[in-house]
Amino acid sequence: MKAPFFAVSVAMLAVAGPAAAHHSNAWLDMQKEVILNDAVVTEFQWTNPHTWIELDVPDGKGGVTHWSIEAGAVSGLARQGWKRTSLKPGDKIRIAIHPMKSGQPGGGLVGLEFPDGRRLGSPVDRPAPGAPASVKPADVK
Amino acid sequence: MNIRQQCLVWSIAKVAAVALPLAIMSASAQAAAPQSKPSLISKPLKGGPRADWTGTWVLADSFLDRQDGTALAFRNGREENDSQYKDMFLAPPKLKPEVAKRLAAAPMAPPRQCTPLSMPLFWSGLYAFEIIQSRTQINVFQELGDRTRRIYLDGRPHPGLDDVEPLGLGHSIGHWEGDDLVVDTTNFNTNMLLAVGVNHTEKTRIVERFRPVGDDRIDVDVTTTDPDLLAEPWKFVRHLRRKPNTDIMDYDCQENNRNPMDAEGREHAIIQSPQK
Repeated sequence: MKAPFFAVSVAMLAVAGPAAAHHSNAWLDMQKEVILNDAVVTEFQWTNPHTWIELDVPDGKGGVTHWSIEAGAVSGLARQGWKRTSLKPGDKIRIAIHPMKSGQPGGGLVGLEFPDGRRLGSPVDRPAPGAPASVKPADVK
Repeated sequence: MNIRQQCLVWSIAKVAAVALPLAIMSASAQAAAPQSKPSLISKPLKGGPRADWTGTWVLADSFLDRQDGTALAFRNGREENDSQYKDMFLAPPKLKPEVAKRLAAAPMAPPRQCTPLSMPLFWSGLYAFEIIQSRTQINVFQELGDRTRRIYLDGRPHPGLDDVEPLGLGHSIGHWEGDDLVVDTTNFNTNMLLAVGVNHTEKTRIVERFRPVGDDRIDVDVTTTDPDLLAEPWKFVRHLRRKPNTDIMDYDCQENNRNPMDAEGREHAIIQSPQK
């Protein structure tokens, strides 16, 4: 998650937008979700102001595309059951993201899933109406 | 003087050398009691809550306050998550039209990233708070930016603007009304933000009421006024809930800051994108 460090321009002042205007998400398409399958973690940056998940994703042509996915701050995730070791290089995951508007291989985390079904964040696939939206940290390694 | 007289004089002198200072000291002790140095220890005001507010607190019902232990990715755009966050972000204040017009014509340069939170934006901090309470002072700390407010409860007045350097957090003095703590904050650093695009003025004033709800919850009503800037008082509430067994964590905003801002204040992201 983003720190409130004033990313909204003054032109937006009179209209709307949070007072501290930190969380602009200006670089993300928040209306779109993309699922990356068979993504392999190359690095999990357990840091503030955001954690970052670095991934190699098969490009369907025999090679890989490297993706950088932004997730919440340690200050938040650590209190939601995440750990420094929740993701390790070599982990293979399915991951849902809001993609970058620019079309570059980057995005913001929606949720991810391990092959054994354990999840972090929101479900990768949108849940059916009425189904529970999230998982307990006990379910996560 | 003969020898015996000299000895006598010398003996009297020796006694006097001891007795006289004692007499003087005792006399001055009587006289000095009303002039003894004042204690440097502050005197508390009357009143106060039944509970001690010292401890770690989080925004109630926020992503840090998951009572059922579930794990969520923050603000990922899905309705089921955003519904819990809708009150987390502060609505901006309503500026006087001439102020808004002036700012639109000549926008302030975006503040540097990692600017320390000033008041009332201190309350936009989303991570853990810590309250340290004594009878004469309450400190309120927010992890985002390691910011600490000091609320003085010893009856001191606000200082003159030139007597004590104005702070971005202002100068806060409080008093008790029953269990409620009422805090008055003035003397703001006019180089620091009141809200996006607007700095404090010398007329900025913030009044807060900390209302305990039982032992584990405090509702904070925050009202900000500034007759030069705001069309109406800027009001919001923060609901704090105790979160025991949560240690305060570091927050270094530049530890791994991959979100540079452009000249218009829009955030971007640094991604590593070599294609193999």
